[in-house]
Amino acid sequence: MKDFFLRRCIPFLFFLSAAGSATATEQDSLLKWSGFGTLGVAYNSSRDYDYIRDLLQTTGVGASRRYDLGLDSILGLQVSSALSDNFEATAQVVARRSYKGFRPELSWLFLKYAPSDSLDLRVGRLGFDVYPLADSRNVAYSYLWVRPPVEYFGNLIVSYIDGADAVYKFNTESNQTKFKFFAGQAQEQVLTDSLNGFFSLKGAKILGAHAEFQSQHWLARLGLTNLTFNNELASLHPLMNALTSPELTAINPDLAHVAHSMSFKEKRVRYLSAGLVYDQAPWQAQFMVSRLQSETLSFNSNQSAFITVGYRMKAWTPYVTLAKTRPIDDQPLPTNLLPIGVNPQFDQLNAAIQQVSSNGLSAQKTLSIGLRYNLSNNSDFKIQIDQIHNTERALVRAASATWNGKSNIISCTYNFVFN
Amino acid sequence: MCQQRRLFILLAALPLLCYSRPSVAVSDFVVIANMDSGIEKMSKDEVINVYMGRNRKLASGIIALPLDLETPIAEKAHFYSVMVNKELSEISSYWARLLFSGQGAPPKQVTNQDEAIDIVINRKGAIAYIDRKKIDKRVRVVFDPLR
Repeated sequence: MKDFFLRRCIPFLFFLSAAGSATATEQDSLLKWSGFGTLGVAYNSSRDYDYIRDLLQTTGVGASRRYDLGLDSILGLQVSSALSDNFEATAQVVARRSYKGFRPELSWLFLKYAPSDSLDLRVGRLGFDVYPLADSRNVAYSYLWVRPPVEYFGNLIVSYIDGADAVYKFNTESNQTKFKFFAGQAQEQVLTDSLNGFFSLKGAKILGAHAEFQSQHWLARLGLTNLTFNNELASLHPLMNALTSPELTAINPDLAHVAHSMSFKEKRVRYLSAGLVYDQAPWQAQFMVSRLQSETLSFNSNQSAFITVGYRMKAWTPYVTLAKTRPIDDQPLPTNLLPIGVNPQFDQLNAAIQQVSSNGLSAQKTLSIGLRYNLSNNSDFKIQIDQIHNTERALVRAASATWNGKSNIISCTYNFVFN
Repeated sequence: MCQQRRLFILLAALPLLCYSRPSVAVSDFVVIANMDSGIEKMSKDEVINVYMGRNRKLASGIIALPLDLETPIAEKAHFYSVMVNKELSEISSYWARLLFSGQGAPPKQVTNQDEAIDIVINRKGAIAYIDRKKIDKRVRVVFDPLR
């Protein structure tokens, strides 16, 4: 699918641009280039773990390196072309640290059809718009923080989908109501830390919708998205095969059920979210909550929330953020499904089951304070300090057994946009 | 750890150090449109909806072409301050979010008021904010913040 996009769609886009040039008027440039970027440095007071921006990153700052230029640094380039009054084509390439290193990746590539003011239809590669701001989380100039709150946005394992979306919107005076539906497939991979392998989300089906209300100072949004895994995690196969073997199911018939509950294929993850944004100068505030409900034991359910409040004084905006994520307790973990102390292999299997179900747990809270300084109308400088308190390790990498779960992150970034 | 705590406290105290009173603006612009745009008047909300990308079309159904002034930058800052009470950096942040998530592009930037007037004269959907002293008979005033 990806090759298809790279080989066919980019030439297609430029073909369309050339075709569009015949109809565009002389005042409008045919291709509009724009871009964004962040140059950042981060410091972790602890060397006992790697602090990461999101689960798509495999290494971070701390254990791998004390100072890190790669955690937040991003470069994005976008080109778009109005093919006619109603058609537009856009491509965006982003280089940031992900599971592929800094290799540039095609993050957006779509054809948009807007037959009226109330309807937008897009097809192609689209940002994963699961939470408010989630599809623009690479663009640091567009928000206050150095990075979107990790407890809320860091749990995301998808940044784009190949598919389509439709937005229906209408205005009443200065207010706008919007309904969005999207469907597509994921393409990315996630590192499964303790099992030393990657889990491919390729082909995972995504279906989502949200309703949004925007007034001059408020934005409220409710969203629901379903993701259905398409692949099995290869490194789980030996354990699942053992648990479903006739010898073991004869000892405990529940083992087959446990093996099934660990599997990924055809299991769903449901993201339910609500967000409220307030923006009336000089104040701005955001409050978001989400509930991630997973059908597989290997990817745990959790709930997350954050609140940010900022106050702008001319070019300066100090802000404070409190963010938290914790597992949902409605999934009791199976313990000692095989008799203990009888057979060392049984003990190993009991431990392996425990490990699988606890690996996916994330519990972390962060208090952040920061300051954004607008250098110009298209660049800013930010400094932020995060006090981390982690009790379950899924949101961090390479944590040592001796880490007490606490650390401070100090980050400085320079952010810009151009168009 | 102690140094980090000091830095944390220093950062928390910065709001007090950099406090300044917001400046007060005066309304001296008008919004103009093409004589054949099919619109006589625009409400403040309609102007905001076009300039903030919420509406792509004017009430007459013509695709809108809102124009932003690159110079004088104070004129642009004044327009957004009066209309939506936002600084230009906030407008720029707002558009960064929409532009890079494929939801629209900011108004076309033009170098000065004369260029804006020229485009409004020649393009049916064009609208621009200009100094009221520059109004002439070739364009129509569709919004006046003082009325």
